Amino acid sequence: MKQENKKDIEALKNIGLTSPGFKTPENYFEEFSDNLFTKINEEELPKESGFTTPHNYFENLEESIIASIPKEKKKGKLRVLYAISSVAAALVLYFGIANYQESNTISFDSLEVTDIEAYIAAGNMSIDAYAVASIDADLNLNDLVEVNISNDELNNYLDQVDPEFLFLDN
Amino acid sequence: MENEKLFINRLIDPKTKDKAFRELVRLYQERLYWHIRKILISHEDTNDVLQNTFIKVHKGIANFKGDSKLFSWMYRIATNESITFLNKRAKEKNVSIDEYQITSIHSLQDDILFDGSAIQEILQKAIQELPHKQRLVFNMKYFDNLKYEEISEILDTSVGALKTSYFHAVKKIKQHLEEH
Repeated sequence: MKQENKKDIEALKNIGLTSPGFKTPENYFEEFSDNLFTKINEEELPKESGFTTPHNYFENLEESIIASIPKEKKKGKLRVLYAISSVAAALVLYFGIANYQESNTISFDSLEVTDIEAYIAAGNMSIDAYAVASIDADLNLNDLVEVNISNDELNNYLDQVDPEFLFLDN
Repeated sequence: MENEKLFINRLIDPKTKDKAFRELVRLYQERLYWHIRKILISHEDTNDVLQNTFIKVHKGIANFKGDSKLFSWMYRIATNESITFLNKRAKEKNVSIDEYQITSIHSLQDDILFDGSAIQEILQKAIQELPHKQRLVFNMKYFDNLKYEEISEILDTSVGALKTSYFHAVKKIKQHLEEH
């Protein structure tokens, strides 16, 4: 048995099976000792931080947090008024539309200029200065508004105003 | 190396234990590493078990009775730690320890920390297919060149049983290599 085993072992070594073929990461053994001692020292440190809490602290914590949150003002009555006025407005709108449909249809020409100005002033339509300028590049300011400012008045204004104010917002 | 008894005394004495322990680590880390690595295959697992082995040695050195060589004692701890580790992993996957080791060898080809030849890869697969005890004996005798008496001390098995285990292990590996 011994002889046979010896021959088999020699045969394995002869085909190059002298090491298992594993390798280690670079510098593994050089660093092993330090890593080991870090772990040993860590294990010797106390496991608990040493901090404690007052008696029943966590049992009472939830209540204490809820109690410290500022209460919201009661809006019960306002909510009812709001609801009622919303319903009233909807009814007015409905009957208004129903009555209006029986009469003339609306066209742009039938709208009053003052109505349109009021609509824009209420912020219902945003006007981009660049968009206005692009409508007609040849459009003159005097065609849009009546300008009754003298050149002297204009120059005085320009001398006083902060130039930043004059820049268009993008 | 200095007389082993003197060395053990330095390992126990609080004034000298840290320095002596560093020497011990430096002396045996590689041998223990490769022993564990051949059992666990993975470097990461080996690193964990090697650290645990030395930690156990560090904690237990004061109780070391000296009835075996220091290295045999450490080797035994490393072997037991490796087997405990394997048992735990196998239990997690609900398989036997042998089945677990066979599956772990399948990813050897993709392991960047294996640079063996194709035949070494076949050898590793053959080794993993051996029964658990034969695998240990083969690795310790064939690669680590330990004497049967040393292996007997580590595995707490008779020399005769070890020789039989080794004989069968070598035969099976040779057969596996011939078939593949």
